[in-house]
Amino acid sequence: MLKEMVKKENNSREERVLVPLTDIYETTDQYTLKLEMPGITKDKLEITMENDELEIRGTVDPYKPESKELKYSEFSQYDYFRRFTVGNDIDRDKISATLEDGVLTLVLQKHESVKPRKISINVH
Amino acid sequence: MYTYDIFDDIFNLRDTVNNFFNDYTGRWRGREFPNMEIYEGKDDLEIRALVPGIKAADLNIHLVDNNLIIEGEKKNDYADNPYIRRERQFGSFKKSFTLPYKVNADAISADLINGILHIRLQKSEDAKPKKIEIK
Repeated sequence: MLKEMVKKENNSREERVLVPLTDIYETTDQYTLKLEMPGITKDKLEITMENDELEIRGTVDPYKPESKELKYSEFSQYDYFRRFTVGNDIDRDKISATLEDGVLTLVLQKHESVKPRKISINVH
Repeated sequence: MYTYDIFDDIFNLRDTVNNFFNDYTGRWRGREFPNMEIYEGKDDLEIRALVPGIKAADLNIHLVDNNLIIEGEKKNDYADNPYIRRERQFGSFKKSFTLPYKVNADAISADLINGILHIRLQKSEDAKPKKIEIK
C-alpha cells in the first residue's frame, strides 16, 4: 500500500519544494516508483524510511555559471521533496534505488508473508 | 495493510488543497516542454533544458536563422503492470525559440548531464557590442 503525503513544513518552517512527478506500479512481489528529478546526482539525494514514511529529498544547488546572468527562466530551482506513506506489506530492509538520466527508480519489495501463495487443493 | 478509513479521504482533500501552490517538476503552467532557462555572458549564451528520462540519441537540436529548435521523443517506460499513479508524460515534442542574439553556427556545443540538456552558444561577431567613434 502506498499513499502520498506532501508536507511543506520542515521543522515548523514553511519551505517551498519541487514535487517530482511520479509513476508507481505494482507487481505481485514489489512496488516500483519512478520519480523525475532532473539534475540530481547520487550525493545530493537522500532517501529515508522512518516508521511508515518514505521520504525522498534531493538538494538542488542553484545553478550559477561564472560571469553569466540569468535572463529567462521557465522553472524554479527549489529542492525536490516527496513523501509517501508505506504500508506494513513492504519490507523495510529491501529497498533499492537507481538513478539514471534524472529519473530515480525505487523498488520496494513486499514481505514474503504477503506475497500470494498458491494453495494446492487435495482431491480425495 | 490498511483498511478503508474515512480520514484518508479527508486528508487527501487537504493535501490537494495544500499542494495547489506547489510546483511539480515538468508541470509549469503555460510552458512548452522542455522547460528551459537562458544565461547570458559577455560573448556567449548558455541554455539549460530539463529533459529527464530522455537519451541523447532521442534529442535533436537545430539552428535555423536565429531560431533554436529542440525536438525529440521521450520514450515511455511503461511496464505491463497495474499503475497506482501515473503522472509522468511521454511522447514527441518540438520547441522553437528565437535567440536574443545572432550566434556563431559553427560553435554550438551540447551536453546531456543527469537529465539536463546544456547548450552553449557563442555570439556572432556582429552581435558583439562595438564602440562607435565620434569624430
